[in-house]
Amino acid sequence: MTEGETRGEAEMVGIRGLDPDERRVAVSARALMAPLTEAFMAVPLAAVPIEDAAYDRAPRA
Amino acid sequence: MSAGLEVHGLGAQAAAVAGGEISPGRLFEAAREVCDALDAYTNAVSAVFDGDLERELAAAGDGPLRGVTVGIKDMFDCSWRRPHDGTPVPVAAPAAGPAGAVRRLQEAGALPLVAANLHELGVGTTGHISAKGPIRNPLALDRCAGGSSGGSAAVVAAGALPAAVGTDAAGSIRIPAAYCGIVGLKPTWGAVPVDGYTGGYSTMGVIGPMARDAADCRLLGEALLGRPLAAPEPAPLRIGVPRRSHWSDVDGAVLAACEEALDALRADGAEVREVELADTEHLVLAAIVATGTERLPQLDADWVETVLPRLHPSTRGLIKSRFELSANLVQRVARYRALVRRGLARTFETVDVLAMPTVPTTAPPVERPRVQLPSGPASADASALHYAALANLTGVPAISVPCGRDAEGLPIGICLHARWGEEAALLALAERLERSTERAFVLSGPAAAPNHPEVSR
Repeated sequence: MTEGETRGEAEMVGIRGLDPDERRVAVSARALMAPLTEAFMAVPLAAVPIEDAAYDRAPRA
Repeated sequence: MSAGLEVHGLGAQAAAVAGGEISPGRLFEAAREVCDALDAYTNAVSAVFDGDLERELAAAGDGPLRGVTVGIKDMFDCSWRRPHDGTPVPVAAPAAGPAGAVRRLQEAGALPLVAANLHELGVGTTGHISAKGPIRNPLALDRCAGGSSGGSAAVVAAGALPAAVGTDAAGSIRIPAAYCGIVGLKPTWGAVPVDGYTGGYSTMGVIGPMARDAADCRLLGEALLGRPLAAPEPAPLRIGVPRRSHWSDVDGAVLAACEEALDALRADGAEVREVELADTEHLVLAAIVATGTERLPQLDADWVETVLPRLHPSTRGLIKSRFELSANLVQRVARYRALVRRGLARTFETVDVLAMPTVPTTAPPVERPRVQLPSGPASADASALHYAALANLTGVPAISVPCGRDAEGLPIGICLHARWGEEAALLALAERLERSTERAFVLSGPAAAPNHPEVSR
């Protein structure tokens, strides 16, 4: 989604864009996420296997 | 509670019903009266049952909570209400009968007849946005009750109900429990059935009990988890304290209260040692990405057309902005979660429990939910997520226990984490903390709202 617009998958479920109030929220969300994302992208994760025995120990109801 | 009703706790009310001292009908009427009054200035209640009570009683089992009215977050299909998720409209999907958690309550004999309000769609830790307006903290009406299970926390803290069900996908049980001065247990992921729960799609979310003390939390927890949570045999206890990552940027009063809680546990025989948690620098981002994107497949054209326009602009903006998150980011977060889970499993080879402040500050203001940290002003949501998200991203159980008050009298909570499946150990430790602090921070009787005396009538 580019500034002030929604595209692609968002449009496929009927989302057509952001009104001014929504845009303010989206801008704030982007401002929060941008530095967090930049730092996170530097974490080496290519060799991390997704399987995790610890997680799978959780009992299922 | 209501005039003439002096029995407040969940266990006490259940015993009073079992002993014939009070009827389920009288308990329900008292709950309805106080919930209606409380809701007028806290927006904590979405709806109160208004049907045939005898029918509900007939549907309830003869379990340990027989005849006691409890609250349930408005995210569950009940026999009498479709969930609204803190929005103006009920979910549209066909109901398949009462939710699994509701059935568990009914089997235990409880009457989940008060739907508690929540932060709209559960997408906030403050509760200051809902279809009814902000959910206010009954202990200080200008402060947030917390979120997203703010209504559940508020009805318990005010003494309107002895206990309530909450859900926790990013601290949503523990954060409002800390802000409102009650005990909130986030069980291990997967421990409670999720059918009929609007957040049941989530790998982050779990259903859990909220009550005034650990004993009542255990009672409701046993009903929800469907198994005993009796205290294990006392054993030497090793408590890990991740000072660098989770004790360093904390409000002074919160830090002091949590340190005193550690001192109390140490005096009670626990060994307290510093630990280093691996790979926890990105908990906030991971929680936002995981919770935000797991919801997206729930959205369809009908919901977008009929419900989305009726939501608060903040909720609409957040939902829409989640479509910006890339597939790469989502997949990286999945791997990061595996990394954090492994690191935590290694930590639990050296300690039995991890302790940290539940949230780094007391409840933020309703009008502008920002907080002041030693490092500067911060969003209440982001600062709380850094503490809460560890348990959701990894699936471990965690409990928030009241451990102090700040200079304004606002509650402070400490959060204890244990290995997967060890809810009983957490409840036992919470009881130890309550005992060793002489229950000084356990609310008793009706809430004495400092700036709204009507609440305490």
